Amino acid sequence: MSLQEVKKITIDAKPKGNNLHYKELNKQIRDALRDGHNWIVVENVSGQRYIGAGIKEKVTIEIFGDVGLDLGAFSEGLTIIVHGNSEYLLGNTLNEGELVVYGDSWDITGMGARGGRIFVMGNGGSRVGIHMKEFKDKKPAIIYGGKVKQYCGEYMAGGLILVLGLNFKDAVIDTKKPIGRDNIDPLKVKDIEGEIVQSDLGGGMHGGAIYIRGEVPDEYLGVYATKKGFTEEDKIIITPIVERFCELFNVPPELVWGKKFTKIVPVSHRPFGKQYVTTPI
Amino acid sequence: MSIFKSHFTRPRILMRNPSACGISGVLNMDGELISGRKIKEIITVMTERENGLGAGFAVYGAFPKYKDDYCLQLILEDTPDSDPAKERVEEFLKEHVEISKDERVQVRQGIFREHPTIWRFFINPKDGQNPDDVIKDIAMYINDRIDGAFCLSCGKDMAVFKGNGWSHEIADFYEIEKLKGYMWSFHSRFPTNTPGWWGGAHPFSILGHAIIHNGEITSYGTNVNYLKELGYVCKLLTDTEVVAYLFDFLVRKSGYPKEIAYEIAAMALSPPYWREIERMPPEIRKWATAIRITHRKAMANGPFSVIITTDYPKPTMIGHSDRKKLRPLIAAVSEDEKTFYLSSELNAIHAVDDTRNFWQPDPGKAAIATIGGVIKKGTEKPFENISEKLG
Repeated sequence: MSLQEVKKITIDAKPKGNNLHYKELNKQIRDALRDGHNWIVVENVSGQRYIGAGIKEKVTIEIFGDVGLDLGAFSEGLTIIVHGNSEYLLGNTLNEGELVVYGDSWDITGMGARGGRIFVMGNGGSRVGIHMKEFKDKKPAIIYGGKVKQYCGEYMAGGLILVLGLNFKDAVIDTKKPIGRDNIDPLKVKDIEGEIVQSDLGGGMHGGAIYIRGEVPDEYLGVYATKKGFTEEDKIIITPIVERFCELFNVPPELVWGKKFTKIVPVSHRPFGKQYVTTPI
Repeated sequence: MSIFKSHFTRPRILMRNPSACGISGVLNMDGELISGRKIKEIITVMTERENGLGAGFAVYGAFPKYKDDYCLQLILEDTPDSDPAKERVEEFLKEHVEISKDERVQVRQGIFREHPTIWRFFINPKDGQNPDDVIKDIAMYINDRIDGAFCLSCGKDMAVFKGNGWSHEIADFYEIEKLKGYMWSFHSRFPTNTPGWWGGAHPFSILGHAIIHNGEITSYGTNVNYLKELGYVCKLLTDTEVVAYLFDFLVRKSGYPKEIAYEIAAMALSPPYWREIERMPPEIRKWATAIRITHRKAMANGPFSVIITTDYPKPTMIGHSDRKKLRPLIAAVSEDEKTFYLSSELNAIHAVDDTRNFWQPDPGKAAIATIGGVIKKGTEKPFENISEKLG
């Protein structure tokens, strides 16, 4: 976008005190795209669903407020920045692009994602990255700054998930202002105390990898998921993603690298193969 | 297929309307009254979760004048060739209870083309032995036997208001802005697997408990059989009522120590997996095993998140989800730590309070708050901090 001229427009999602319906809001966003705007700011968002769904242009949508379900679903190439929290299904079937949330985003983030990157500053819920897949150079990545709950990476077929276990609670400089890069004090970002993942980690996964910062107890591994040594090669793979995370959320990289990562991979690429009939028909 | 003559107090046809729901609850932990205007603002944000077929709310602390009487709130409808429903109910009530007062519930006209009469009785059982059980049986008798009458709620100093319509219509119909209470729960959209009728909307209430629910209870059959053994009649044609009755049984009837009864009930509803129980410390494992075995048939399966509000033994709000976490639930506490919120979506809470103190309870664990503060955030280990009380 740097070479392109920035054409910015602001949309109010709560004109005259009434929340716009998501249909109307998305229509306004698409109208703005048609008029040649490449940076769309949406203010006062309050739970509207499907924002930016299915958009294939490489433009930026910057959102202030809490977005609803399915943010950026099916989109291809969007950059979405949320100064607030996201509800469930963030980046559902994402094809390409970068979704950044300066807050929490709960269950089923990046379900069935086929490309793109999802960065979340805070905590996640259950089933993060379920059914995520990869093909050739299309490798989706989900990065959580905080912690996640059960079934992280369930039935994962590709891509990678990174859980960093960082606590941003005291790092927000001005709590009255929306959270953004400039509003985070890098020296006050801390490690979360205690466990950052829950049970059934990578349950039924058959591709891709999950990287957890810190130790993972064996009983938290899901069926057909196993731990593997974190090698230099792995570090090379995750370094650009970690660097981008640090840049977005103003975190010192040495803090992230200060703890060892645990890598979780599937035991085989076809773990449920025995469940199917093998005799030729 | 018409099974009843009436249609407000009994469904006209047994056809289900599948859907999902928006739930929310607010508790002022200082016991101060919250205006219904705020509650309306919370629930109407989640319009996307509704289908206009039903909504309802429960309010606690609404009748300070009659707070020692049981408030029997009814929907009434007169059917041809029988006496007016109100007379038949009154006749039945006079046999068993003293009526302190009865009144027509004020409703706003012009919102629904047709609607039933809403009536409330403030009553006290003549036989003071087991007043709760008498009232429970009276409510169940009315729902089961008196055609043209349906009991919405029968608790003390609380009432349930519900019907077919959008959440904003139900809020306007019952003039929610005139009501005040220290604890509220509100549900929008109709019960998942239920015919659409006025009595079938959420919340479901028995005595001081009221339940709102998002999802479905697939273990309904097992739970109903268990409840039958325990003397509860399930007549509402929906899955949610079993949670209300199970809760009443586990918290009130079972005789567990009052201060930990909620946690035991929550664990019985969605017990940990056996593999998790095996890993627990021995003294907690003993209790978890006992609860899982004793209340085997009280386990609620399927996707659900519920908000339970109760006044037993003191006003408490519980947010609970299934152990696989298939339905949403977010909890929050206001910045001044006075108000506790539960909701399906965070934006509903942020519509009235831009607090930064919010979290998602863990799957299968209850977030519990009561007058005085939050007891459990739902992110702790099972029975953490209360093992000494278990003995």
